[in-house]
Amino acid sequence: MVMYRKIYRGDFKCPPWFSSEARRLITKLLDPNPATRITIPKVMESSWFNKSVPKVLVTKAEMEFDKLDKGNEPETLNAFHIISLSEGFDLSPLFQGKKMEEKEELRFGTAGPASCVISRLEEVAKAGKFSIMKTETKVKLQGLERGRKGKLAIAAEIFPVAPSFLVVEVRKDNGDTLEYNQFCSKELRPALKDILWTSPPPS
Amino acid sequence: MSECIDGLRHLFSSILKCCDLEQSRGPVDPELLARETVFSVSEIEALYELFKKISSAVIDDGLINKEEFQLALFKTNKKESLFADRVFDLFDTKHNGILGFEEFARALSVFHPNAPIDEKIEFSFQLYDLKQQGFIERQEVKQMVVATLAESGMNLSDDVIESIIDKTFEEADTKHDGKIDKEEWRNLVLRHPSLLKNMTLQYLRDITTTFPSFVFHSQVDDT
Repeated sequence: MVMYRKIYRGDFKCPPWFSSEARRLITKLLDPNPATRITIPKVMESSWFNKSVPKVLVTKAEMEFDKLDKGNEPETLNAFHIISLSEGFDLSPLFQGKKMEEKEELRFGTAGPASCVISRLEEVAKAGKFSIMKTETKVKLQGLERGRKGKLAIAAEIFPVAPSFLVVEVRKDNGDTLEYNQFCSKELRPALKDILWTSPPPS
Repeated sequence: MSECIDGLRHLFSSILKCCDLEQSRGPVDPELLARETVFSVSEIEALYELFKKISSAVIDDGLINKEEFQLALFKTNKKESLFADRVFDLFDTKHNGILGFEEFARALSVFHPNAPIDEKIEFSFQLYDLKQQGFIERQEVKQMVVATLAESGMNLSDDVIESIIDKTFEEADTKHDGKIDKEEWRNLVLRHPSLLKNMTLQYLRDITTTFPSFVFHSQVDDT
């Protein structure tokens, strides 16, 4: 409670080793009054900020793109894994205002085989100008150009559940969520449409 | 004479209400809840903001009923879910069909990243033990697998489902009695930690930043 009161009053002390420029900037940043608080454009003009700015901000995910770990055996899903995927057991919507469509993970079933899923993803990569890294069960796509938050990267993992049934999980690995959603709806989903699992016809 | 007593009773209850307003910041003592859960006092207060939001969605009575819970989870009250029902029942430790803030906070404490794994193992076991008999039966597993797949529009043939469950029981049912008891569940989970993925909500770690308005809370709601 004391911490929050301090924030509210802008009551803080900088450690003694902070430079005077840093101190000045921080005082303007921690201004409790949003009307007089320093703005982002002004921060970018400040002398402290301009001392050492990396030319390009490369994210960790971008750096590790090449290190696709081929080591571990994929964990075969058992019945409880399937159950834990259920929406009803996922309590995170309690904290989010987002609607279901904006979820970052895409999960679907397919009759397989895994090689079919992988070749389909390779086609998507070629069409969308993504570079691709793959193992037998994992595929990573990375855009060649930087988007709003770095290069868009997508990771797909294939889980064998039964001999004729795989679960594929696709999620955003790096980059802007809006760009990811666009990619999913315009390029990914149409390409995967015909390998999506459909219920077997009633016998 | 009885009017006198009524008058006194009324006087006492107003005085007590006044005292309550001074001491607690909500209908329940946040410090007590903080001591008995993994949350800090600030986190309890932030959680209370979330609770107020959810519990006022349909009936503004300071309590979460099943409909409000479904609304918060699925953003629609039209969706029936076997799993959401189980979760709600487990939260509802008083078994009165509604969730008070205390039940809400105590149950969510299990989902905190810092909650002890034993609590998560216990909670998930009870979740899957649909008939609450103290063990997870094959039939219960089948019911849940079918329900989960149906949610995503996937209906596997009975053979495939049976083979998945066969494989699962082969690994989990070490006592070979056709059921999974608490000990077998514990061993299975310790071998496959990813099974408890849905028992941890990272959001709980940052709850004070998601609901900061509790800091400026000045009025206490009457229950």
